[in-house]
Order: sequence, then C-alpha cells, then structure tokens
Amino acid sequence: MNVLTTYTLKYLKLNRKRTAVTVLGVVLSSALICGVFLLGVSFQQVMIDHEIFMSGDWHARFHAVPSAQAKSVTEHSAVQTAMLSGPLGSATYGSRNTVRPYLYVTAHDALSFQHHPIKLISGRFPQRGDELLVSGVMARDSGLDLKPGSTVHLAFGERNFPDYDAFVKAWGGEAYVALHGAETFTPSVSRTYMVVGVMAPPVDETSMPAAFPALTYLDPAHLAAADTVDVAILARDPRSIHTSAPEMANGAGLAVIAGPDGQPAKESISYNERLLPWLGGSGRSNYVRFFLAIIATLIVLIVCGSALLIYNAFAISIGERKKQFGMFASVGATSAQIRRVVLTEAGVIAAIGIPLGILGAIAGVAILLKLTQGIVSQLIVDAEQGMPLVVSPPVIGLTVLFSAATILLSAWTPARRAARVSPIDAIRQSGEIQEGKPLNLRTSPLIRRAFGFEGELALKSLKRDRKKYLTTVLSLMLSIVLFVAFNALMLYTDTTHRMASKAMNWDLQIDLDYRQSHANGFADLVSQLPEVQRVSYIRCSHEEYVPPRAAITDPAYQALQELNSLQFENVPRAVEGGTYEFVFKVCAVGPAEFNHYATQLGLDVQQYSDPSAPRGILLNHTTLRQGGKLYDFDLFNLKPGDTMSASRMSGWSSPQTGDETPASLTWTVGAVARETPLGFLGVGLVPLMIVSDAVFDGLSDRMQQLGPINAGHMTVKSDDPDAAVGAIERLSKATAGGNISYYSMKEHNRSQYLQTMMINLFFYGFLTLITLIGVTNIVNTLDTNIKLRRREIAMLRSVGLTPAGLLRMLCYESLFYGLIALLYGLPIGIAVSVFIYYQFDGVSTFAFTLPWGAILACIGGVMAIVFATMIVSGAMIRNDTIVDTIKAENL
Amino acid sequence: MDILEVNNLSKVYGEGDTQIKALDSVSFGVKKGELVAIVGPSGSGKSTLLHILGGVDTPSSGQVLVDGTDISALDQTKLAIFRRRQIGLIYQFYNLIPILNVEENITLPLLLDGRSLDKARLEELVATLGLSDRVRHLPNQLSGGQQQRVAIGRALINDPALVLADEPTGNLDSATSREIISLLELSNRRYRQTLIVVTHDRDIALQADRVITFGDGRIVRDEAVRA
Repeated sequence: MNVLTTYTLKYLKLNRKRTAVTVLGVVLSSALICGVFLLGVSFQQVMIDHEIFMSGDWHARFHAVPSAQAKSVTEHSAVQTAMLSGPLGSATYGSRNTVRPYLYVTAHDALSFQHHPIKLISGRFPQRGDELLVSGVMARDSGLDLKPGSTVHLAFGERNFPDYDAFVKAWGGEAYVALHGAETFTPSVSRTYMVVGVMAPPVDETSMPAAFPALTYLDPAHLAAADTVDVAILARDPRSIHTSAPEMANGAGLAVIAGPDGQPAKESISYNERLLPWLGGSGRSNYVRFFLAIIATLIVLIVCGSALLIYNAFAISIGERKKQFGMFASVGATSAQIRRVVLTEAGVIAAIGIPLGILGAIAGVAILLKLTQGIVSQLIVDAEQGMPLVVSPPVIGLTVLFSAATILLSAWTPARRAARVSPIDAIRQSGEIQEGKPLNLRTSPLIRRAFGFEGELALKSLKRDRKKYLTTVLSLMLSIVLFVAFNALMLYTDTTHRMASKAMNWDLQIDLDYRQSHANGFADLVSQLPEVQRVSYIRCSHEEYVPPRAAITDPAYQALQELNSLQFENVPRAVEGGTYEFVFKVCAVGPAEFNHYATQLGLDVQQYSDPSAPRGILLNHTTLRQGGKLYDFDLFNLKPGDTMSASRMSGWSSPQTGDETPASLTWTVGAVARETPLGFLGVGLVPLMIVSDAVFDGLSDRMQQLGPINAGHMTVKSDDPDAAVGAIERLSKATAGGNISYYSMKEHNRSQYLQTMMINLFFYGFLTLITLIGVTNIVNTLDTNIKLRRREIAMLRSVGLTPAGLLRMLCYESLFYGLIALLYGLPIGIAVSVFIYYQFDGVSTFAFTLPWGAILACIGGVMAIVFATMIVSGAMIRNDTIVDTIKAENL
Repeated sequence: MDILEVNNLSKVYGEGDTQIKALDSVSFGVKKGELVAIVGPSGSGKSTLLHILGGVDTPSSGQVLVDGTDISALDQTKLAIFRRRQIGLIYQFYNLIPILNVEENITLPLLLDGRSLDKARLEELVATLGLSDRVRHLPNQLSGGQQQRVAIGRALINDPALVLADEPTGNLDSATSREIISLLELSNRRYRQTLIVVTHDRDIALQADRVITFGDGRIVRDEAVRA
C-alpha cells in the first residue's frame, strides 16, 4: 500500500467524527435507495399475487383455436406453459331456481385448473370428462342439494332471445348474460355428470348472470379434429407478449380478427391486462405507470439529498487539509495521485457504508412490512400475510450502483479541488480556500439596527462561503418542499374523498338481478325493514337531447364553449344550429322513494303516474370544477310545463327492430329541482329527469329504442348498515333466492382511511429519513463552520464579546439560515402544491387551499433543527479558554 | 496611583511532578503613560503575564488591579465588557476578523459596545496609521504590516487604560517593524497611552521608559531606561 493510501486511512481513523458523519450519510442514502427498491418489489409481488388471485396466472389466451393447430401454439418456443380450456355452453339441470336456471359449463385441462382462480371448498378438481365441479351457491340455491358424489343430468342447448349477439357482446360472453324476459331454451344434447367438488364463488361474481358456472375436465387426447379450444399461455417473456402473441398466432396459421385499432380483437387473442403491467408487459394500466413514476421520483430525491450531504462532507474535509495537500504537492505528488487520495476515501466510506445501509434497509423494511401486515391484509383481498419481503440480486445490485454513483459524483469535485492546491497556497497561513473573486460581504445597515452588531456578524458569516451556505440551505429547502408538497397532496386527496363520501348520500349500494317486476317488489319489501330508513331502486335510460339554442342558459353556453375548446372528454358536443348534444338520463327511483321525493318537493304524485302523459322532475343544476374554474349554473331555461324532446343516441341501434329510423320521446317538465333523490350524486353536464316507476315501466320499450337502459341497483340509507345488509340478505333468500352483492360506504370509507394511513406511514418514514440526511448535512456544516472559526471567535471574545453576545451571534446565524431556507423553500413548496391541485382538476369541486398546519409545523421544525445544532456547537466553544485558542496554531 | 498593580501573581500548569510554574509570585506596578518593555528568554513567562493582564487568561493566585478594578474578581461577562473598554490587545499574528473590513475591525470594540463612533477621531486614527485609502478592504487584501496597523488601531480606538502588545513586530520585516515601533511610540507620546510590550526587539526596548526582565517566571531586573 503506498504512502498516500496509508495517509488516507490514517486520516479517516483520526477524524472519527467527520468520518462517522460521512459514513452515516452514505448509510442513510443507500438504506433509503435499497428500501425504496425493496418496497417497490414487495408491492409488485403483492400485486402480481393479487392479480393472479383475481384473474388467474396466464398472460395471453388464443380463442377458438382449431384443435389440430393447438399444438403449434402450445409447443411454440416462446411459450413456457400452455393450458387448454373450452366452453361447452349453457345447460339446464332441473334447478328450482327461476332466476338463474342454467349452468354454463367450461372444460379445463389440469394445468388450466391450477392456473385459474378456482378455489375448492370441498372435494377435488374433475379429472374426467364426466366429472363436474360446481359452485357452492348453486348447490344450495338449486334446491337439488348437490354435493360431491351426487349425480346431475345436464341438457345442453341454446338460449334464444331477441338480439342475442348484441347482448352476448354487451355482457362479455353468454355466461354472463342475465335472464331475458322473453327467453326460451332449446335443448340438444344430454349428459350425466358426477359432482366431484364444490368451488367458492369467484371474487367478482354477482347474481346477474342467468347461469351458474360449472367446470369439467378437458382431456386433450379426446379432442376431435373439428373441436376448437381456447389456449391460454404463460410466455417466457411477458414483456413482449403483445408482439409475440400475434406472431405465434400467425405462425400457427390461426385466423386473427383485427380490432378497430389494428390489434387482434379480444375474440381472437385476449390478454391478462390486470397481471401483465405488473410483469413489465405493456398495458393500459395507469396505476403501474403512476407506481413507477413514484419510485423514480423517490430515487431522484434520495440521490440529490444524499449527494448534497456527501459532497459537503468531502468539501469540508478537503478544506481542512489544504495545507497537507499543498505539502504533498510540494514534495512531488502529482494531481492524479492526490485525486486518488480523495477517491480512495470515498471508496473506503462506500465500502463501509453501503453494506451497512443495505442491511439496515432489509431490517427496516422487514419491520415496516410486519407492522403494516394488518392494514395490507384488509386492503388487498388475499394478502393475509401482508406484503412479502423480496430481497433479490437485482435490488442489491441497483442499490450498489446508485449509491456508488452518488458517492463517486459527490466526491469528484472536491477531489479535483484538492488536486489543484498549489504548494504555496498551503504554506501561506491564509485560512480557508479562497476562490479568487473578492467577497462582497456588505450588509444592509438595517441589519445592524434590527439585530445589533452580533446580527451583522452573523449575516457576514453566512455569506463568507457561498458553497457551504448553499448546500446547507438546499438541504433544508429540499425537506421543506417535500413536506409541504406531500401534505398538500394528502389534504387534497382527503378532501376529495370526504366530498365524494358526503355527496354519496347513501350507506349501501346493492346489485340485484335486473328483472323489473321482481326488483320493484323487492325494493318495497326492503323499505319496510326496520333496519332500513330509505331505499331507492334506480334504473336509468339514456337518451339524447338537443335543445334549441334559446333553451341553454348563457352561463351554460359559455361554459360549454370553454370546456370544448379545452378538449375535456365527456363534454357535450357542439352541433348545427349553435346548440349542443346532451346525454339525457331519465331515471326511476322506486315507488317508495319517488313518493318521498315528490312529497318533499311539494308535488302531487298523481300527476306523474301516467305513461301516456310522461312528466318528470328535471334536475339540471351544475356545480363542477374543471380547468381551474368553478361552474355553478342551470343548464337550461326550462320551466314547469315546458317539453323536452329526446331522440335516439348516436350509434345506438335499437334491439327490437334493429333499424336506424329516428325515434323520439317527448317529456314534460313537471318541476325543476336542485335536491336529488337518494342515490344520486348530482348533475354534471348530463341533465337528469326523475319519473315515477309507472311511467318508466310503461315507456321502457320506447326508451330502449333511444338508448341503453342500465341494469338497476338499489341504494339504501340506514343507521346500521351491517344489520341492514344481514336483513336484506335474509329477505332476498326468502323471496327470490340467489346472492346479492353489496357495496358499503362504511367499508369504502374504512378502506380509504386505511389506505391513507398506510400512505402516510410510508411517506413520513421516508421524509424522516431524508430529513435526517439533511440534518446530518446541516450539523456537519454548521459544526465545521464554528470549529473553523474558533480562533476568530476567541479573538472576538478577547476584544470584548460577552458570552451572551456570542450566544446571540450564533442564534442569529441559525435564524438566518432557517429564514433563508424557508424564504425559498416555502414558495417552492407552495408552487408544487398548486401544481398538484391542478392534477385533481375535474375530479374535485373544492376551492384551492394550502396545508397551513403543515406549513406552520414546517417553520417550527426548521427553526428547531437549526437552533439546536447551533447551540450544541456553540456550547462546545464557550468552554474554550480564549488564550489557548489564540495560541494554538493548528486547529 | 498606578494604573496597573500586580500583587503576588502566580500561574501554575499541571499537578504534582509535572507541575510548571509559569509565573511565581510576580509583583510590580505601572504608572499611567509609561511605555514598559518586558524582555526575557523563551518560556520565561512574559506572554503568560500579558494574557493575564489582558483578562484572557486567569491566574492561579494573586491579584491584578487595572485602574483600581480587581479584574481577577470579575465574572465572564463583566470581564468581557472590561476588556472592551479598558484594554487594547495586539498580537504577533494580527488576529483580525476576516469577514470585517478595516474600518469595522478597528471599531470592533465600539461596535460590540453598541456605541456610535466619533468620526473625526476615527479619521484621525486611520490617517495616523496610514490606512486612509484601505478603509473598505478586507484583511486578506492587506499586507502583513497593514494588518498589524489595523490591529493597533483596534487597540487604540477606545482610548483604553492599558495597551498590551505581545511580540507586535515578530512577524514583520525590519522596515515595517520600524514603522510599527514608531506608531506605538506615537500613541504613547501623543495619546499618553500606557503601553506594555513583550518583545525580543532591541529597538522597542530602547524606546521604552522601563525594561522589566523575566526569567523562570520571576522578575529578574526592573530598571528605568529613560528618566
């Protein structure tokens, strides 16, 4: 080892405190980087597991592949695993369930059973073509008491109802189509099966479809040449699946239908769009992009913060040893050799700090994941273990790479400066390295008047070394900006959620099957439950309304022009005649709720019951905030007695007649209101008319010609939502049978709350650590400043600076550092908050506000940090005796 | 009355076997307006004495009375204020504040006292020191001699009871040394400044009214040079 390396190591050992501080900075930095990567990978893993749980472990699926060509797909080199499945179709089975009378049978091969989200409750998976796996709900609700060992006779056939193709397309497959009122079934083939197992309902199952799912075994050996199968694959490289899958299809000679965007249509090749983005496959997942953006931002912040710290530490260390470097130079060391000294130091510190940081991160993340296990398991279905700790070589590798790069870059400039010290600089007793230009240390006379001479001394001290001053201030500023911006983000998110929850004036949302007659009666029964205060059963038809220009209010017209020019989506389009094309919703809310609503508005319910004279209550008052502006106006100049002529929505082909001839409906405005009935959020740019159920039912055929009528849902207001759910479920079983699915606002709020808590936990952990980096930096700088000025301070004391005066001077220095950091940091933080606010645009309707509490806390925190540092260092100096300090030449 | 009275002053470093007596029961007095040179070999205690007289070091025993005030009985704050107003200290290595310019360094005692300065007095002092065209310069823009002159200015600005100088020419070339000596002499003659100078410089000793020789922490000789 050469003398310079020996010198380096000796110096590091002698200056334990300085070395320790620098190592601490490196440890913090690499711990943070590693921690971010670890958390990222953990989260990714949880999401991958979750998406596999929700939609299965497959990447792409080729539909309706002729069995003869299946092999060329399954044996393709890019395919890791291939599994076969195929629909057998709908079948009746003698069920007593009148709402869901069918089974929809799908066959899967063994691998397919493993890779799809099918959970066994009892029994086993089918292994033969005559074995059946059924759903637990079906077993109970069919009235057949099916269990493993039972035999069941299936009659496969065709469901017949008008406009079959459109419904299948709209519902995403025959298996999901609800029971159509005019439906008939034509059986063709009978088969007998033995039930071998019972499965849990899929996570997102509703009671809408007319068929329960049932699974049987697909034996590839028994496939006939004329059969088609679906082939699902796990690709070796999921990232390129969107190119490799079409290639495979072409290679196998499959006929691929192209979709409207030129890509293969879903009927030919479908992709597991939920899973692929988490595996790196391109997907339309904003969530994943957002997640990656967060990781990248965090890494950048950490690298910047720690670069400042490490640079500063090295700069100070070099400054102190200027004389020594000069001596090395005078004795014959080259610039390159001196540079190497500094870089060796950086290397040694990195070698100590990075492994410690990585170990610290692993420990820290493990603890954090354990702490949040409870929260995570409540937020993400199937993640009972919380997020897993995944320590993979790429994570370690990336950490080492980023940390080493940060250290190297931070030490580079100080290394060059050390190499440039000339021998004569060192021999002269000139103190700190001067960079040539004479300093301007003039201060305003106001400073002396306001803060006394000690204040002036303090300010001049700050200005004497621009670089040190800047790095200290920048460290503080970074923490300030982060703190303010994050609190703004949390404030806006929270406000948005609270406003959304408040706007949702109901406690439960319940999905039933859609048959009106059953549902209306059911809604009435529900409204009589003691646990339920109010219930509305909402069905809406969508129509098009093009008002005459005069019917649009002026503020509305102006807003529409502005919003159209800003190219927001979902804004009514401008059409000929200087008017706009509105989507118009006509909704029924269930008899009980309509009575309640109309009475509340002081209206006569009888006037609204006649389908031949359709009359409704118009809601057209808009409050929305978009493009940074608040819009608050009525859409139309309509009064009671006016009529609205609704027409067919563009692109809608009526199911009954299938023709495009224009159809229309004329509605009379019975009243114009602002209050909404239960279950409505409000009117954006879509006017709403509330009609009685009698009118809705009477006109539903005609309304279907104008646009879609969505399946109804119930909203319930209750003081005890949990009890209400129980009561409604019992009622449902007693009447129609089948499951209901519900969505509870209480659950939703709780989940929001947990999410917020978790985000807060992670962020404040991160902020604390990054502030710690900043504080370490500040402590280092301020401490050094004071120690270097020991002699000067002793001099001042010898000329008559009292201990109180010294304390005042140090306090002013802290004050100025803190004030300057706040002066620049707060406006930047506020600017970032404004930027964040505008990202919420269109989603929120709250006025711009700032997280004032956080800003005040920030000010307090900054001043506390800077003061504490100063006082501690000052206390150390006050105990110096003046004479020793003045006499001492080498400090 | 003597402006400076030293009674049985002792300063001891260390304990037991390693004990060093830097000053051993030193007693003497100085009249107002006297220029006293303190000479002696290295390690004889001269600088120690000066630091104690200036209140920047504390004695182990004994008493120091400056203009009637027992400075050994003052607390830190009172001592600092006393130093500000009654003592002027000049060191071998100028010890200027690098972030203050010439004017600010000279008026430092006044600034610390929060007193406004007499512009005329300052101008005269600056002119006497030959620094009129350097008033706004920072110390790193001055030569060694100029820096020492600033230090002298600082020592004189408050018209203190005592000016104590520790090897003021130790770091200067002979020509500059002579300038400094004549300035010190000037302050003594014109401003009736009491000056105590620790020095190896023969020229200063020759200008003094009195020469006190130190050896091994004690006064060896104390003789008037000029009547």
